[in-house]
Amino acid sequence: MTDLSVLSAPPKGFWWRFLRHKGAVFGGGLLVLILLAVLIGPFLWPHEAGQINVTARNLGPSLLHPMGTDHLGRDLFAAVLQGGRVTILVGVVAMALSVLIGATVGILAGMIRWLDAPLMRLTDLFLALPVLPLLLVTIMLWRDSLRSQFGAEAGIFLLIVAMIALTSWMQTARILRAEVLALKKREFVTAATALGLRPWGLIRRHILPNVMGVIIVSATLGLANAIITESALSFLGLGFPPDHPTWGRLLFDGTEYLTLTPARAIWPGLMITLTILCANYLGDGLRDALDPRGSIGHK
Amino acid sequence: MLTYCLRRLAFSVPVLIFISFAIFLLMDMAPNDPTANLPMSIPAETRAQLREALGMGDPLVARYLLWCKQFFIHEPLNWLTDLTGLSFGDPDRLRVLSWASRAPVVELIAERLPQTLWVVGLSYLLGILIALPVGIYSAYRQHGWFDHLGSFISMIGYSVPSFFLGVVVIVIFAVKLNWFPSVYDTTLTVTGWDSLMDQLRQMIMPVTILALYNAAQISRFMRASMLENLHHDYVRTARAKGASEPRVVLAHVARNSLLPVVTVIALGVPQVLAGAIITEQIFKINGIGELLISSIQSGDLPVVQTLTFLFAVLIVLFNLLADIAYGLLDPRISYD
Repeated sequence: MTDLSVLSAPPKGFWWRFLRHKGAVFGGGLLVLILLAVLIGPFLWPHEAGQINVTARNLGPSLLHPMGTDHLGRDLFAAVLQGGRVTILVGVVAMALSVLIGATVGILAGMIRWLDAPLMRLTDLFLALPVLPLLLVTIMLWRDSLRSQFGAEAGIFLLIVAMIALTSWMQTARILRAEVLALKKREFVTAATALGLRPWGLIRRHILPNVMGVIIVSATLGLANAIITESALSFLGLGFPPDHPTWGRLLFDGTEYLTLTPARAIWPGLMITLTILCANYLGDGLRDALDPRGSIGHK
Repeated sequence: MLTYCLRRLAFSVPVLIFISFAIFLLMDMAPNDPTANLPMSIPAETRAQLREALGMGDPLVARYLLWCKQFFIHEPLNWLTDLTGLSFGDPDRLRVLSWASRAPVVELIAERLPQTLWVVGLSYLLGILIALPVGIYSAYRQHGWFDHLGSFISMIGYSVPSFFLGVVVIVIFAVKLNWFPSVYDTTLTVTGWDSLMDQLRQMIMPVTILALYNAAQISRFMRASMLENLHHDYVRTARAKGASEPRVVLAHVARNSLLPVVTVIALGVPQVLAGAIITEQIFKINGIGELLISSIQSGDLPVVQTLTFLFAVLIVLFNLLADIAYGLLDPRISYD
């Protein structure tokens, strides 16, 4: 966790206000729990994902199979644990890349005057892209060549992560540019410049620590966004292949059997929803705790 | 104001040209073969001839300009011809044709658009109608039980992906209760009372799901905007001169709070249309979203290209509308 003093802490303390936001505390806790479950779960759980057992087909929930089994007798709980790894890995990596691009563009635009206008026009241009159709088209067109280059799983992983990051960095860039511009007017920045601090040192010592809170909020909301996008792509059949099912893919496969075993669609969908809900609540709580005026509509 | 509108309009032209070129380039660089889905028995020379006939041998810029000419000059002229009955120019001009069905892309889209517009339009309208009162009352009684419930429901509506909510609703209302059909019957035409009821029954689920999502987003903005206005001096003045409470809230605060929300509503339209891609897939509605997915799967690039570009046009157009609406509605903003 970040050192508390660097989060631009208004009076009464950041943690005090964060802990008062019950939804955020609950969401954050549950998110950590989900992360631990998909990280450690597959090692502890006795059934292996994808292990076929024809004597135990289409079972309902029981102690042995808490989420039931599918038409080949595969344990759904194991599949959900395994799928969660891929889903969350995609979410985290795509979010990190997106925040990195957004923060770089935003801080550069805020700090360097002649870069401001072109970078912001570029941001506007990206905001005008039709994201979902473009994602679908890119994946359809590039999937096969990347698969032959990097292998089935790595190829599609790189493609999806890169595309999500490239189409989602704009909000972060805009918010950070506004923050940096506001910070540049403050006295301590003027003082640091007057004392001869170079621009790079200024960014590292004064700007970055002060915008860290905004970046963390962006990252939390970006995680939710990345997971929802990956699941939507998988749901449309243009995400991960069926032999490496993510939660979205499990949901997509489950919709074929809605009349027979609706649980196959419900459980993965519930996990996606829960993760997104937790991330959104955590992001909301962090934002409210960082900004005492606490409003949702601010962009 | 007029000069501002013209300037914004002029700026959107290079944006659209850039986006159309980017889309064109993206598809062009990709290792995609429109003859890949044809039967294996077709010999390689014939395939090469087919590709040649589709114009794939020409240089990149020539193909892009040809597409621009077909899309920006020929198609509008055709449209004008259909509309007025007069003929403009050469009636045999080249059109943007689908590779899969050999039909003009514009006609394919025109065929699919009504279904999408009905479902999406109704749900957006319904969403706005729910969101505004909820947002106003939540802000008026901030931290009250209604506010907490409203915030919770809007958080859920905002976080539950439509593809999951759609599946849940189908399991409950179509599979278990058997109230509504799970698959949208697109051949249904409304001729009388019975078919109208059938049409309504099959529209309820998709419309409700999209409406819930829209209402969740808009009510969050409405609430935030109301909260900002409720503590202004003019509200105290209105109360002091004896205006009734509903009048203060609705005629003074809500009216001012609507300004930013109108732009949010305008900006949301393209997103909602893109969201229909997923909803149409769940309920098997044959709208433009379904057309996009099926064209992507069959590698029908002209259709995909046109649809993607249309989505970009919608985004730019509604951004423009939102800016202009804001200037018209709020006299404090002057662009000149």
